[in-house]
Amino acid sequence: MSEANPPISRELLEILACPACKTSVKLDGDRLVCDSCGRRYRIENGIPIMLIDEAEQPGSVPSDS
Amino acid sequence: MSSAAMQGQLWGAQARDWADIQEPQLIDLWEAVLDCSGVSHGVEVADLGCGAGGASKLIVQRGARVQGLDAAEPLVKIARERVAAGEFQVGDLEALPYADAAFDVALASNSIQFAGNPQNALQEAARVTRAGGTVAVTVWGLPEQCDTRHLFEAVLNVLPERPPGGGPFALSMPDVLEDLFRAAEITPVNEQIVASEMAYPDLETAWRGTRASGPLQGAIRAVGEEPVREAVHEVLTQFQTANGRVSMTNEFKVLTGQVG
Repeated sequence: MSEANPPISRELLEILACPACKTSVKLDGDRLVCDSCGRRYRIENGIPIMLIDEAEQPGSVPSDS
Repeated sequence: MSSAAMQGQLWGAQARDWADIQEPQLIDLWEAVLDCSGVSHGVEVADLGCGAGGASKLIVQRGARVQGLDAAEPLVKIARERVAAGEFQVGDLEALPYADAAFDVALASNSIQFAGNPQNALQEAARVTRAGGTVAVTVWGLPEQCDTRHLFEAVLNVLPERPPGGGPFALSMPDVLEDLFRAAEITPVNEQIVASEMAYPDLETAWRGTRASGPLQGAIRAVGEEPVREAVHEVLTQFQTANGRVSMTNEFKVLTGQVG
């Protein structure tokens, strides 16, 4: 997988939102970060995992649950 | 565990059988709901509860764009493999990861009855649909029109207690879905009943397809596979023809509504 290719398309980034606060997210490596609450959602093999329970909270380690 | 996480585990357990055996049975239903929803070239569609991408594939074949969402990661992976032109996310029907008014059409085919709170799921579908856009939902038809009800009844009979939630037909009774639409500020526009045959070449394939559904996986978790298999086999043999083929006839209700 090339680093030059973003893991998701620009069009998708425009419509994706944090499922908790519905505000926009920005791409940070292989994470989508909520502009409002700071939750971090991982992207696995091109698939954003947009589950609130599986998000990394700002300043915390990922939950195993 | 959240409802979405639980459903994701149940529906993801036999993802390949769901994709290969069950989803092809639903193509006629999906074509009907896409026709009702005006899905054509250039339309932006959210496929909510997309499973292994069976409907998403038909959506992109019409020249529309699709975002597919499902709680079951193994199904979403298959959808991504199968529908290169679509984009897919793992997510919760009750907390959609999309901006307001992002879509022309939100489709929820046989999915919102599995949400912990279908009302929340419909409100989210309405939120991500633009004003004037369409929310389209399919659910089982009336139980007496669905051969598959015999399967559900047989499985319920081997369970020590009824599973949580309203069951597969919770939204199938007259006016239930219409009332949920109105409560979510979606104006019901069109209702259609679609007959659908579920046909399998043999008993084993019918069992594997049936087993792949979330409710069956829930039952298997509760009592183990053997009692569920026995109960399902007994019903399936009643729908077997002389050549070994298994055929069940069902109806689905398709309701479309307008947002805003």
